[in-house]
Amino acid sequence: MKQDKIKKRGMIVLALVGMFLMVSPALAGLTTVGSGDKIGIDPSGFPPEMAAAYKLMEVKCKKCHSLERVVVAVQTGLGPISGDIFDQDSTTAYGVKMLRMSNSGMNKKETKIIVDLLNYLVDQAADF
Amino acid sequence: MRENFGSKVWKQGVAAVVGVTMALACVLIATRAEAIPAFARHYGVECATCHTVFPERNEFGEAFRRNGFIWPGEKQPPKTTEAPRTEGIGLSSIPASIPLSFLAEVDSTFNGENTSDGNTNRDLDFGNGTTFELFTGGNMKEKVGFWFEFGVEGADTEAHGWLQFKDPASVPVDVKIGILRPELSIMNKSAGINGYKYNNERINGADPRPRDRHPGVELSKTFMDGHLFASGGVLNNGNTNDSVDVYGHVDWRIMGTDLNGNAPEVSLTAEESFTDYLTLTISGWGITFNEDDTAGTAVVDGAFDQTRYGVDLDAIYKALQVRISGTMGTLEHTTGTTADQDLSSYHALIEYMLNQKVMLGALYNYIDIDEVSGGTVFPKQSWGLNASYLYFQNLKLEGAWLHDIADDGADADDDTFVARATLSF
Repeated sequence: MKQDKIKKRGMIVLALVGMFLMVSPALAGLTTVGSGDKIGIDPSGFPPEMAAAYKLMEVKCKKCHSLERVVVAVQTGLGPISGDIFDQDSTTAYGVKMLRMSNSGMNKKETKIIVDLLNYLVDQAADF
Repeated sequence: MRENFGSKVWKQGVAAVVGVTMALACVLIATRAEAIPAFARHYGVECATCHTVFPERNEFGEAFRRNGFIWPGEKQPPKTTEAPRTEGIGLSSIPASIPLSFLAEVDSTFNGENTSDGNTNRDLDFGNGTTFELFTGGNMKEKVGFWFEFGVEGADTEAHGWLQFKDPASVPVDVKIGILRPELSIMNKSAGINGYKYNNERINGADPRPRDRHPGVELSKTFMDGHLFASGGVLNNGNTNDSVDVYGHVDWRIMGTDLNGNAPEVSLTAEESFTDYLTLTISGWGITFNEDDTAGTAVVDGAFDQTRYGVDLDAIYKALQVRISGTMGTLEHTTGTTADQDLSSYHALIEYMLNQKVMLGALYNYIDIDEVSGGTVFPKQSWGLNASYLYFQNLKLEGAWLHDIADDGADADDDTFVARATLSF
């Protein structure tokens, strides 16, 4: 009987660990792939419009820099270059700054799509 | 005994959960640490953050320079250094890594000078102009900016530098002290290699140039929420009569990225507008300087009183930049009977970033100076074309063609072609 109890407790512990392991990726909000300047975000769990926005970001933003600074900004809540707060109140300012860079090759509609994606990523990262 | 055994298993189970959690936490934290960029050099940004085609600065780069190489804005970016920062280093305000940079420049020039008898004197100098520069710049504790430069060009060497104190003693003005070049026309900020030094012409042949560097002090400030910049300085030009050069410069940023490098507010949901991408600046400047006349056998103290002043217009729209400048000046001969000489010059410069690697440029110059007998014939006009290619962001290849238009009665037009390679790291 007592051995059964021990077994049950052990099973509960293992179940808790298992649940934790299963739940952690969802709690993390964002899954990164790669490292260094090759780092990116796994968009497989994104809603379709955000997955499309991520593809746009890969084309437009990686023209000048890697997505490393995006990942860092979203994960830390600080712009890695400016040191300014990076949240849903500041993403538009960042988007406008990139829009106005010479040869950005972006228009306001595309910038809005990417800003919406940044807001989504900030939201997802905050869930962790 | 059996209960103790059960408690042991329970405790071991809890310990296992805690252990796994800690392990996971380490992995996640390590992931975040690995996700932080490997900053290159001090701020770890690419050249394009501050430059269009180096050394020409974009709006943010200009704000950074004017701020004494202190990152504009209230917050300072999270700097990384190659060496760990100890408390002692921090208290000493010594940069944890030495911010040294190097620049090498090699020119090749072809001159085609057309003579009045219809011949052309051709002169090719391959690798004739070679420049090496070692420079360091940055700031200490975001309170003092610094710049020091040592250059070698042929047999000539030059060293200069300055310190810029940000709001010293709580006085709301920046103070720059050192060997300074007066900030005059914005035309001098262009990246072109046409060899033309704007607003630096000599009126009287041998007199010093208004943009010559001298020891001095400059006060500057950006205000009106980054829409107005003003600077003024006094330089000791080394004259025998202890006169000084006095200059002033004002920028009014009418629209666009402000003078602190902050982008304007733009509605991303509104229709596209021309003004969404426009930066417009009007500048005014002036300088007075009194110079000795060293051309003769004896130095004549304070023989020349010179004044130059000008207005510039700078417009940036996406990849296109247009600069227009007008300058007036007077040289007053304080001794003798030589009449005053007036100068007027007008310049236009267009630069277009074809893509991130290629910049194309065109310029036009008009200069008229009251002539001195036996001197250069004025007015003079010239136009030029240039192209810059960034092989890498720190390796630039350039070509330029400057065409001097002959005035009536003088030699035929002259052409100069320059090719340049510049490496900086």
